[in-house]
Amino acid sequence: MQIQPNVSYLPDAVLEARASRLIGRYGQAYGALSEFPVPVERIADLLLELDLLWEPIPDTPETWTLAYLDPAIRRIGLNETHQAHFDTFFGTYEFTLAHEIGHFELHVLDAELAPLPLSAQPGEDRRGYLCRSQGRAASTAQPYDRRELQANRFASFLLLPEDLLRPAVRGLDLTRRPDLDKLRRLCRVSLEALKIRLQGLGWLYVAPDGALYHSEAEAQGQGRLF
Amino acid sequence: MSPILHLTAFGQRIKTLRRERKWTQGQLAEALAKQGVSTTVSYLSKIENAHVEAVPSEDVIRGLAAVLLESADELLELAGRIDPRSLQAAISEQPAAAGLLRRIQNGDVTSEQLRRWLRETERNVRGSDADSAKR
Repeated sequence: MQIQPNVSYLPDAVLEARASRLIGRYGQAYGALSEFPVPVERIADLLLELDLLWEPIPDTPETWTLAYLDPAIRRIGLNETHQAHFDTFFGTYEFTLAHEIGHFELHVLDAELAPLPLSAQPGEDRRGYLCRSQGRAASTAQPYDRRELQANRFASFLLLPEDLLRPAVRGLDLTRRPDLDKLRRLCRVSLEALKIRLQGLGWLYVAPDGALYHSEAEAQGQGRLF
Repeated sequence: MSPILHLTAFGQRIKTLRRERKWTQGQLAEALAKQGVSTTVSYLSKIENAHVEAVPSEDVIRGLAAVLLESADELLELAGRIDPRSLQAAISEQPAAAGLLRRIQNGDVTSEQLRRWLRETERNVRGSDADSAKR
């Protein structure tokens, strides 16, 4: 995967601090968060005053779109054509909102916004972030926009802050699927998003074959047994 | 006010009132359901962003007024929806209005005549407002 070169690099520590600061701002306005789930819809709608609109967003033959951010009119558009996808895949709605919030918090000053394929008044040029399905976009040979990766990382930090996760995992065995399922339902995220975050924190190791271990060392130890 | 301006002002007002109550669109839909008004989050998002093709029904507007603690008449007016009850009350108070409506119904008055009459009435009202201001 090629990374688009002309976008600033933001290390994870910065993305995590930005997500944490936003949670702090929400806490000041609406009361501190002490448990999951992180109310991303309330953060987008009430704190940041981003308008949420369900509308049909045209797909292309290669990619389909879940949402877009139009910073000029402070709007997150959600593709109602894919409502069933949001309903079926647990955590997709929350992750999509967190991703768009990420663009809003990290990238709105960026001048290189893409044209939005939406109806506009004559002479109106609507630009923003069109967030296509990650699987298909990542599989193409086109350079992958670094901002999309940053928005995903930001979403992970926003939905799964370490200070809320630490007490939530107490007593759970993170290598056991039922425990992971319980945790992801509590946090309202997909299993994949949860595993990535736990691995980032060093609390879980996912082997290339998908097997789960408490650490990489444990995985290597297991490997040496056979 | 044109229909689109009515819808924009109405949507903005609903969004403001909902946010003042610290509700999400989903919570607003739930509150409406408790009032027996069936809507969806998608529809409410369209109302708020003036993406509806038609003015919401009177039942929806009255439901919104009830849960958002706003005057139904004010919201109906903002949405550009004529309230049949107020219309009936106005006709009872102004018998000449009933005569006018009958003539419109019978096709005795053309749209152009009506528009001209509305323009003239508006000019007269503005003129008398200006006179009162001078005094």
